[in-house]
Amino acid sequence: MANEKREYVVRTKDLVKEFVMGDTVLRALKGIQLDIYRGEYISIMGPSGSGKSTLFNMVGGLDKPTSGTVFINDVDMAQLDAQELAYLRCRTIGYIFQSFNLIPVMTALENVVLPTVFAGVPQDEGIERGIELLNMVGLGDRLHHKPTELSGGQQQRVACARALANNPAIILADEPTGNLDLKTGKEIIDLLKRLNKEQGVTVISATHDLKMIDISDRIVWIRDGQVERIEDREDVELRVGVMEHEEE
Amino acid sequence: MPNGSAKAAVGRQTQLPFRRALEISLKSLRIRFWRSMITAGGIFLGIAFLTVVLTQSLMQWPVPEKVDAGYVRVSGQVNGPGDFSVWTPVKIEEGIKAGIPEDVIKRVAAEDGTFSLADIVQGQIQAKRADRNLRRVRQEAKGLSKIKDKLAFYVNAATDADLKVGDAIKAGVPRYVARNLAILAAVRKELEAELAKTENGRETKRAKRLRAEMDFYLAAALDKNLKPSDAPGRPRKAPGGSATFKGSDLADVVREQPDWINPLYSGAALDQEINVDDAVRCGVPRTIAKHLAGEGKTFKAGPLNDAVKAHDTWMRIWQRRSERNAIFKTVPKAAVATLARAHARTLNDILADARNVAEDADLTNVMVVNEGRKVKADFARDGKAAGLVRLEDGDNIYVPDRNSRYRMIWLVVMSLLVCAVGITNSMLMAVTERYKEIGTMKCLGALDKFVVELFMLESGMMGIAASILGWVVGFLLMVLLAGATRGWDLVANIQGMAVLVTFFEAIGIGLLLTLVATIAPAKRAADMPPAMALRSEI
Repeated sequence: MANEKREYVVRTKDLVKEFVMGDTVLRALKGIQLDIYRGEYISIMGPSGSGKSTLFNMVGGLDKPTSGTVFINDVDMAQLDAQELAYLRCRTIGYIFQSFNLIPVMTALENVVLPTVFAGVPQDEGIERGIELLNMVGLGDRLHHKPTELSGGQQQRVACARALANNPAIILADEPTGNLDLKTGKEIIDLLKRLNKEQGVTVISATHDLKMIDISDRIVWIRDGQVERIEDREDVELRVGVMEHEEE
Repeated sequence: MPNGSAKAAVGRQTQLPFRRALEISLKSLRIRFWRSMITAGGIFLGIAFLTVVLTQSLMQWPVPEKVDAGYVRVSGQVNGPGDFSVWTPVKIEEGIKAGIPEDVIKRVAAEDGTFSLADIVQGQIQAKRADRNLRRVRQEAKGLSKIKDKLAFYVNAATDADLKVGDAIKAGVPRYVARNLAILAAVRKELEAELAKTENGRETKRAKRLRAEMDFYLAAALDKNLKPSDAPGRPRKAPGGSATFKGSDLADVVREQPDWINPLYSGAALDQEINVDDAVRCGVPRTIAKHLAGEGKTFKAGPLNDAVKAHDTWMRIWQRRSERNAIFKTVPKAAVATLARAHARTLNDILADARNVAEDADLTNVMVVNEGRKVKADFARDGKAAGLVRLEDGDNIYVPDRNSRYRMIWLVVMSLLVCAVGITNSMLMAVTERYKEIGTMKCLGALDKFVVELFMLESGMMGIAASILGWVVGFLLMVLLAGATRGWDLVANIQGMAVLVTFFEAIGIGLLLTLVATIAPAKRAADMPPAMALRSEI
């Protein structure tokens, strides 16, 4: 599977993040090295408090690392100023959160159109794009519903559509199924996989949902702020099968 | 890593045009309308309170009191209100030179060769008053002369006097009423004579017949349908004009059958209250009717009759006064104005006369008020020069006390504080509860500046709208309250310019506080990494 010609889309180098809480210093990330190829579906797995979300925030440019660097498309994020960072967040990365983070007073369509507004897309074009995306995630009939009028799975699908609004190269999903039941969680996972397959979007998903493993290209296991191991899907398939079997 | 070249691949997010920000913030305000209303409520209350205090401070101009011609009044923190003459005495020669007729000066001259301008001004007022009253009294006389005789007749009837048939017919009593009542009176006399003859109280046949006759003639006077067979005994001869009847009988007829008489005369005959409007319709001059009714709406005919009798005296009195003061009408206006200007005393003169200016008098804010005249004198800043204001006839000089000024400053400061705390609190709350939204917007590519701009626009619009409303409500509230409790004169005395100033003060403060209270949390939220903003839970 190791193909030398594949280009990296995300690379991290000695990534360290410390949180200062009063007198104690909490080391959430202790030197993470991670290379992610374009078009890959990566799952970052690990128990709670292992640093998944912190890593996710670093990669997404939502927080600054204490030391180390993150490269997106070979660009060092630390070198970017606020405007460039905003450009990156707007067009290169799409975010999906565990708690959806839709803007509560806006309708599904308005939520999806918002990133295109920030990208300076003309209004008509943005709305057209928003409708197209919502149709794609199967919410074509719920365009004008507020988030509170939608179920959890529907809200997360709106969030997926929003993440795709500006055709990003990367989708960062932080526990996208964390607040969903098994069935709707499965739907979201299928949706992400479909996007990955059909549109060639790189999907990086922090999760502890084992169903994710089934469809991931690679799984990054994180424990205690460090990469424990990185596995290809073929290597873990058997084990997942066992676990799913156990669940049933 | 070849950073330099690759970095070019990342563009720079551009700030959205202002129009777009305006669109988004307007939409946001509309979408979260009720939440915005609550926030705006905080601003509104603060500004309304501030406006109440500011408006209150506009009502410091006292309402000028009416002072006698030629005088000014001093009140406030001086020993007791006092009236002082506004002009210094004028030398006789100077008066003549200014154009005052000599015979006028002769009337008002004092022994020391001067005269008081106030006497002339007062004489002019008296002359005007006398003319006005004379005109009124003459007008009234015209109306009264028409009702005078009849009124006297009916007032007389109310006293149960003997009335002549001839007079009654002249006063408008129908012939049959007057004549039948006269016969009735004659029969009654016969009956009384008959009853005087019987001793044991038993009535004779003749007495009974006389009673029947009385009933018959009373019925006749009331114009009832009578058959010839009803007539008892032989018919009596119609009486002449000099025959008399009783007033009380006429009153009975009027009470039973008032068709032929107007309300004024029926009221007089029955000694009842007469309505002012009825009286005016029956020819009583309105001025007199109103005067007699006083506070109420009715009056009695007796006092009206007295007024009619006194009317000639009043006419003579006003006639005499008008003639006596006519001389003052010959004084040219310009002459009086020239002398008034030359002899006007200054504020300093009057305050020196008043002498006992209290310890805590606020000499920075001495006010001179008159109809349409408002002058402020600041003795603390300008010293004696402040008192060089030349006074005018009827000026009110008001010396406020220092404490009220301190109270006002204290109140304004307090209200500003309350206003600031109220507005800051509601704006802080409104922004901090949207931290998560700010984080989300930044994830979606919003620039920090844009987020701040959005929030400033939103709160700015809200601030202006709520402040305007707050000002309107606060102002109206204060004006209505002050008008209802302390009189509308006080409200009318407010200067339009000053109101405008409070308007802009209130709007300015409202907008400023709103923006200041918004920019801090909005900037804080925009500056923090999105991860942290997203994590915040309110």
